[in-house]
Amino acid sequence: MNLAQLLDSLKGDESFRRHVTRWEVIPPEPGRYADFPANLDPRLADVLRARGIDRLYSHQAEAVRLVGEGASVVVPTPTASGKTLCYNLPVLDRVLREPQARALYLFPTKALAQDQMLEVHELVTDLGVDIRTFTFDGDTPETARRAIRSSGHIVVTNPDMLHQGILPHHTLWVKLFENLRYVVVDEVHQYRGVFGSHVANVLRRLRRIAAFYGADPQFICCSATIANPRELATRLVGREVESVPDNGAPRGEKHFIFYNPPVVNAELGIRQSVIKTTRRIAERFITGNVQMIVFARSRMRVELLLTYLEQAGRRVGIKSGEVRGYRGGYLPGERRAIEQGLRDGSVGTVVSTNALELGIDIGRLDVCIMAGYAGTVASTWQQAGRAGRRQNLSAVVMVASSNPTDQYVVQHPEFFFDRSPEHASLDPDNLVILMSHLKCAAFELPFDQDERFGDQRVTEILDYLADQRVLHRGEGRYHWMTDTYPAEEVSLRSAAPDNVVIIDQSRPGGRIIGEMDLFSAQEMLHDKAIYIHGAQQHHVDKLDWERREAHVQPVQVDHYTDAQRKSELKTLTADEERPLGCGTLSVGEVGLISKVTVFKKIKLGTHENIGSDRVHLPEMEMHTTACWWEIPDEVTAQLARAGFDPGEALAGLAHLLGRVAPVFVMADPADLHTKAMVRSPFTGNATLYLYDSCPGGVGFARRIFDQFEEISVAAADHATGCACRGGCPACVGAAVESGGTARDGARMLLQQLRQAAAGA
Amino acid sequence: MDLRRRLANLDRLSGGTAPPAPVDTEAVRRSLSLETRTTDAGSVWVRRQRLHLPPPRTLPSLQGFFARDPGPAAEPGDLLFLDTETTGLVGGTGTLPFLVGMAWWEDNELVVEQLMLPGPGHESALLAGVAERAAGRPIVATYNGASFDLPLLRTRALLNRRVDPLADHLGWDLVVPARRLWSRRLADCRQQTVELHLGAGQRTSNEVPGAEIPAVWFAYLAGDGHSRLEGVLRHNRRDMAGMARILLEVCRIAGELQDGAATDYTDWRDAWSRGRISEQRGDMTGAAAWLRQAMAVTDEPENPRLVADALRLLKRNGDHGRAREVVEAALGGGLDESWLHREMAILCEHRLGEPETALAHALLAGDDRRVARLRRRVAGTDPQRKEMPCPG
Repeated sequence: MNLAQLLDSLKGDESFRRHVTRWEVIPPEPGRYADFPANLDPRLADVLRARGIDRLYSHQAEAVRLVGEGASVVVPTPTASGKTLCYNLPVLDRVLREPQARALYLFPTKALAQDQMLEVHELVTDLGVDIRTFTFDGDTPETARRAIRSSGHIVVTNPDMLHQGILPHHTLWVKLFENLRYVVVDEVHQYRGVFGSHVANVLRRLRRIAAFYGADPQFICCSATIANPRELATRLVGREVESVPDNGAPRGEKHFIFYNPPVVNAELGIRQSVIKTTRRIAERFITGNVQMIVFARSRMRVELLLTYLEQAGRRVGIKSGEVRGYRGGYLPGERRAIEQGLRDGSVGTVVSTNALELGIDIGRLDVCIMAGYAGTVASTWQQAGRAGRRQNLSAVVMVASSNPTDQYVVQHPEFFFDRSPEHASLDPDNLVILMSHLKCAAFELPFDQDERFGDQRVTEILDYLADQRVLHRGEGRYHWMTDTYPAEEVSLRSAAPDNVVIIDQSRPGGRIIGEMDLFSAQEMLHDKAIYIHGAQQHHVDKLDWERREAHVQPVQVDHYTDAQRKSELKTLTADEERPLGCGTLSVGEVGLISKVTVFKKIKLGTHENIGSDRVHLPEMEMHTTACWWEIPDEVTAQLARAGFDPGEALAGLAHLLGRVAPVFVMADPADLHTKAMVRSPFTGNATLYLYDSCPGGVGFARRIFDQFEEISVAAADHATGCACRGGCPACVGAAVESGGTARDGARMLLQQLRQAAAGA
Repeated sequence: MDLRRRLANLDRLSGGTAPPAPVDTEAVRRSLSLETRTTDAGSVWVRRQRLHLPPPRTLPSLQGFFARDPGPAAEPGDLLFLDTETTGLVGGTGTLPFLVGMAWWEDNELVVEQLMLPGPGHESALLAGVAERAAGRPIVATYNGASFDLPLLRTRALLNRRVDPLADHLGWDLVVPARRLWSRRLADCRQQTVELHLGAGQRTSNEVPGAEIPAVWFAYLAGDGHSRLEGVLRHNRRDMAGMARILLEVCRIAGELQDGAATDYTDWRDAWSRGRISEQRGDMTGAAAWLRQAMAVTDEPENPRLVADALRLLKRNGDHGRAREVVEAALGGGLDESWLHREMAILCEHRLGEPETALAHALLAGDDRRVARLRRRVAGTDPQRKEMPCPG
């Protein structure tokens, strides 16, 4: 069967269709083209023609034109629409004219960097000129580094390496910095939240060093489809960025199917396993003559699905080499072979983690099945972009898991299809992150008295650091004044500087299996906790808080542990407020004092409480940004009159917003916490807080403040539409925990908000 | 809430540190008896002292002592000793040298000149001071400077937009000859260990140990007192004198190797080291002679690295009889390894014409092809075989 026939058979299958919440047919679109720019170096044009490219897509031509005029640009472009030419053309063109010119390429992962290196390398080989391209990452041998520093025209690296390996040693990279014309930043939509806020500061440092050597590079950014590519890129790179509109790549007809597996436990809101369902659907496609990619959200799921699909393939005569897995942990050579197999068709099916969501070149396939929502609209479109050759029919099936975000999206497909994509945010001025990078920057070059960092005035922070004896203030400058290497202490992937190291004691000499931030460690790594790592249960023998070490060993037990955190939230300052409904919505700074005091042991399967124990750990204090909605007394009184417990209603609403808001602000659910207070000492009224979980905040709460109405409407719809009775983890929290009236109480609160808004 | 309080709240690492107090730098300078030197790039503090440490009469050829070519024979006056005291060892651009000691020979004495920063903003003057002394002295001698002091000064020059004052200098990193001469005897080749070995006294308590030096400078900058800076100056001066002493000893040994005079080594490991250096110098006869001496008096005839060196040099010199003695001594000492049996088999087969002994060792070495060949030879069934040693 070909794909059209397969889709017809699915359409006709009532048992399949029953669970489809949306079957969207995206019509084909012809390509839009433009000639090579007149001033493009003829050698480049010749090389492209030799590859069968005799014109550019409109967006490629526009990117080349804007860069040629000196602008920094961001190209929002779907997977595999020729985005690499958007940066390789201007860069190579410049190096051909000006052999001294240098460019730095930044990719969020090493694998992607390697892949892009190969691509630009091929172009350079075809050009037959001496343009040197190198990757520089943790794997680069010491012996090769000197040559790369002095002679690499294009250096391909990742932000972590730039942060720890290149910038603090900039004097070894004089050639690069003096002649730095372009910085290419791919996958900018990945640079949001904490990671994005860090990278924005790394780029501030990069621009500062470049300026020291007299260079002011242009930035060429690429992004998946998000609502605000220009805003995000501008904040990320710290200079005005033009957005290249109008994607000119052609596409064929695409069927995009949202599939919600049937409910198996209505109380707990549990649905049939996403793996089982994905397997069933993928097996239907594997029998057809199509190339398919299946995305799973963890390495373990990849292996599981791979095993099932190999078995299914064997039954219809498909050899096991034609069905492959792809994930981190595979050796580079193996990955390259799989990529090649996908391009030449010898691999028919690949099961992958999001490692293949990124721009690695595997050609285009016919079918994409996602075991679970990819977390954001942007990532989902990127994964979906893996299916669809130029003019051909393609199909994408998103199978939702029971996870609240998945459930929200699959039950509200209009969020995905009809609304503009999410806004990505980052906050380079998060004080914790900013201060970390000011230290790194001061290590790299002394600060002048009134120097700005990016667009920020930082004198006050520099003075603070001088008082802390980290810097020395003298003769109008601030000098690094400790014997440490600050970049080593700053991880771009976490907000707080210190972590708890998790050590598996069953291995000889103890083996480090992971790290965790202090806040989470108190909940998950306290003494006697059962900590699950890589699908393996571990018993925590001891959490050595002073040394920041958790000693664990693998065990097999019939329960898990659930720690209870008591927290107190203090409002410190309200930066801005506005009326909302008959209450007030504010954004500002809050302090949280919290303590894990006790944990429960919960039996797997039955969820019975089979015991509890005390935890002795110090109090944690954190300051962060919050958005809060103050609800006046008359509303809570109304609730009570209607027979709802206001406390339950508020708690339910907090749970609900905690699930829905991350979807809108492109956050991971763990990036946002909520707290409901029946009477907040600060406002004097019932108040609902949503706050950034990272110290200082990285802009999520601010974004929620701006989008609160939209989010609350979505939340109300979600609570109404949820298939559970009286509450489940996907909406207001399981009924057993949230109380029987939480869902209807929360809905009433939201209704009140909407009415007030309509009346205003 | 004001920024400072927010910073303090967020910065969990802070706490308890008093802000720095202002420093009366002029008073510090006077109490340390430092002069102010004004250069084209500002001012820097300086102290100059003369030590009674006469130079070698001439500098012998130091070929074979350094990793790189030490250049043609030089005069003592061509040398500048240099050692930096820094704000740390972490590398990168955040480490700065706050004290640079330099020394040179003048009028039969060692002149030590120390340049010290009154504060980090004076680096340019310090670099100008280094450039001034480096001019006209084409060789810069350091201890571990090739990987630390010299790249550091290069980085600092770049950061201060100055020319690297030592860019065109020939670098003599004394850690290399020290390792070549003494690593076989000493637990490590840190400068102080080598100095002690050469008879220098222990460092005294009025010198600040290296690991504490950055903290002394930070304390001075923060106004916590400068009393220990004198100890840093002493430490640095002592390092300068120590380097000169090490170079004198290297020159003495080089002179003897050059003249072929018998040296008064005290230990077989010294003979061994001299043999290796002679080999590096291309003096194979001398090298073999040193290894013979080493083997003659060693109490470790089974030391595999010594045995390998001795065998290589003796064979190269055609001294196969001695080579055989070396193997026998090693085997007798318990070094029962197959490579040694193989060496013995080769010697006996090709050099000494003893196929039976060769066969016995080839069997012990597990060298099957050689065993087969030797069996035929011993049995007289190898007509191809000529009774001539093969070349190589």
